[in-house]
Amino acid sequence: MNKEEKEKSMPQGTLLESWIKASTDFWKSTASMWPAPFGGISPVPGEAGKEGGDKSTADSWEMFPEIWQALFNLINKPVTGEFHPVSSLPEWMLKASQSLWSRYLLFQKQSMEGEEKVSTGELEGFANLSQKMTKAWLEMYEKEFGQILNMPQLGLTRVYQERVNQTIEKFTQFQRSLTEFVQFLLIPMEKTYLAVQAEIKNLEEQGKETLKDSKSYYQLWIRKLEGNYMALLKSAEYTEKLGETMKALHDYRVVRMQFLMDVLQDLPIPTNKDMDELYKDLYLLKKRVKELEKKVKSYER
Amino acid sequence: MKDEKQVNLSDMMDPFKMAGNLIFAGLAGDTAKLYDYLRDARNVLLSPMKTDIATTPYEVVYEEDRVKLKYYKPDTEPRLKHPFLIVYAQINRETMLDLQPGKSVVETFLRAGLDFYMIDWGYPTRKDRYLTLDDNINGYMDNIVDFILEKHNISSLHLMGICQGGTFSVVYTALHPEKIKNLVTTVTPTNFDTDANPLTIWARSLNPDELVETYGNIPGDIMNLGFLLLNPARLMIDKYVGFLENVNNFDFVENFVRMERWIFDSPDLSAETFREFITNFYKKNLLIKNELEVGGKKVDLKKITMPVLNIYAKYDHLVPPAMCDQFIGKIGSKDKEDLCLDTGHIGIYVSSKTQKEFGPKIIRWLLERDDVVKKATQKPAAKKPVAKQSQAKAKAPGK
Repeated sequence: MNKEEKEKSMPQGTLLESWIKASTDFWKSTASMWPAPFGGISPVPGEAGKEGGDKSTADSWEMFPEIWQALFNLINKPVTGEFHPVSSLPEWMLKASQSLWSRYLLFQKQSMEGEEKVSTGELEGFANLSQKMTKAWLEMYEKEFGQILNMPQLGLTRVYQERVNQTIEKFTQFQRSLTEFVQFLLIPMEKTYLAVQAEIKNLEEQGKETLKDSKSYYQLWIRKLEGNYMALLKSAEYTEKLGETMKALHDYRVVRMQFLMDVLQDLPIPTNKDMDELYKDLYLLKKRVKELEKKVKSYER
Repeated sequence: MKDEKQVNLSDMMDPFKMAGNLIFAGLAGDTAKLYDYLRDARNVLLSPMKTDIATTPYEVVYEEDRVKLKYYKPDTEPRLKHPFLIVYAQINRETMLDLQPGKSVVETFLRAGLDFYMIDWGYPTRKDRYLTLDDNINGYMDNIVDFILEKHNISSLHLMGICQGGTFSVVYTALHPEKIKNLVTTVTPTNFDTDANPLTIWARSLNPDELVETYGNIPGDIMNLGFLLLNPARLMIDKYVGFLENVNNFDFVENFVRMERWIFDSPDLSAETFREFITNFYKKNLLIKNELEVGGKKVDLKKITMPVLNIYAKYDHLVPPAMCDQFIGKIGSKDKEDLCLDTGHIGIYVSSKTQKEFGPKIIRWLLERDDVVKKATQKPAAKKPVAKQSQAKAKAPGK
């Protein structure tokens, strides 16, 4: 669909257009009502309420709706001089939302496929299924939200904004690792289930009596579960996954601590960094005193 | 009607459901039985219990920072001529040796007429994060040993180390062999180059620097979680299924609660000590290779020439025999013995079966080697303020 077709298909005078127009009118009328900003209080003493008392400020107030309009003009193209092309604004928004929706629908589709397999008995493994769903979600996150959080920040508050973004980003990464780790821990459960089912089926096929009571089932289950956990816990994959999770936890806690220290700096509360410096001094001093006392003691002998 | 033998798919994936079925399925057929079970369980859980641990009286005779030295004295005349010091690990608490009446190593030793000292490492706080192995071994431990030797006016003592405290004791003995008369190591890891235990595999892949940066001191809960993950099926499921099966048994519940109180009473581990322990022991295995240095001094296992008794447990999931059984071959002693008991890491101290083996063996072994008493050659400094401070306790200098 080209732009002209789209403009035709878009109803003129949409809700958004009305809202933008209304807000622009509001600011224009507000600016004209106030001879000086802040309800007539002029920054120049003695001139409060005087007509044209602070013309430069009043001008800047009047300029505000124009800036407001220019902002929308920048977003929407082509710029025609009139406050007209609001109809193309949804195109900009549409692109973003389309991308998000497509990712979300893909995620939904994968989830549905997985659930269908379980319901039809076509079970390929709970853990695998769960891993696939997590992977789909993460793909969506990394290609959309994750990129926004990693955008470079500008200006005076750059450092602080980056820390907030990093905290969100690292928290998500940690949650991702933790989810994968927990999924890994569920593998022996699934394996044990399959193994116990197979064993019972085997006994039945051989015409042997199956286990007598719940206790026997439980004993069989727990024994197999223990074996499966042992195999998993000693595997290189588990160690790798554990390492990844610990690393993600570390990264998250480090940025979270930096963020909290920014907050604490404005409060009369010492940070861990402040206290650690103090503790180190105390530790070194005590060590020195103890060494000296030992020396004195040995001289006394 | 659902057949009890039928196994439900969702139940098999849900351990709690599975456990519930196990407990109640057998009882469901008999309403009266089920009622009795629930009534007894309720009565047990609501009745007052004695779940205090470490109730044997002791005296705190020395304190340095958060570290305390406990002194246990028997009712009868002490039989040992040399003082006897027990060093527990910094992971979990020394209260395990006195968990409950009838299953207490402390009680066994006292009944046999042994007086002894035991280090209580306390609960490290953030200010303790810079404490190194050197501070623990050549600092606190050495100060405590000196205090005891001065108090008894003697040149050496018997040393017994438990788990990580055993590793500390081995290092201490190699660095200060002249102060140790006999060494007993129990479930003491000295060789870390083994895959017999998932813990060694994980620890080798750990980045201790990151963990220390993340947490400072390593929280006891994190370490406990790691220990539970060594065998989740038994430690996180089966154990509590056993509890539910016996929840109507007062003695069982009381002992179970005592054990739970001990297990999850875990002090944090000082950051630098953790970093060094993981790096030098688990990752580099320096101790058994005779390449370890503590406080700038080489830890030479060949310098351990006094009698050594090394006890470990066959079914230990934390310190398996492979982590203990090389030690004896690496030391310089001629009088040395390995003893492997048919139990687990904690069972060695608390199981009824090993109560008859573990404690009595140590008592016999020590008494047989407690012969010649050498007086301290130097004038003891204990006549100074340390001894005068109090009958109950002396404070270390620099406190």
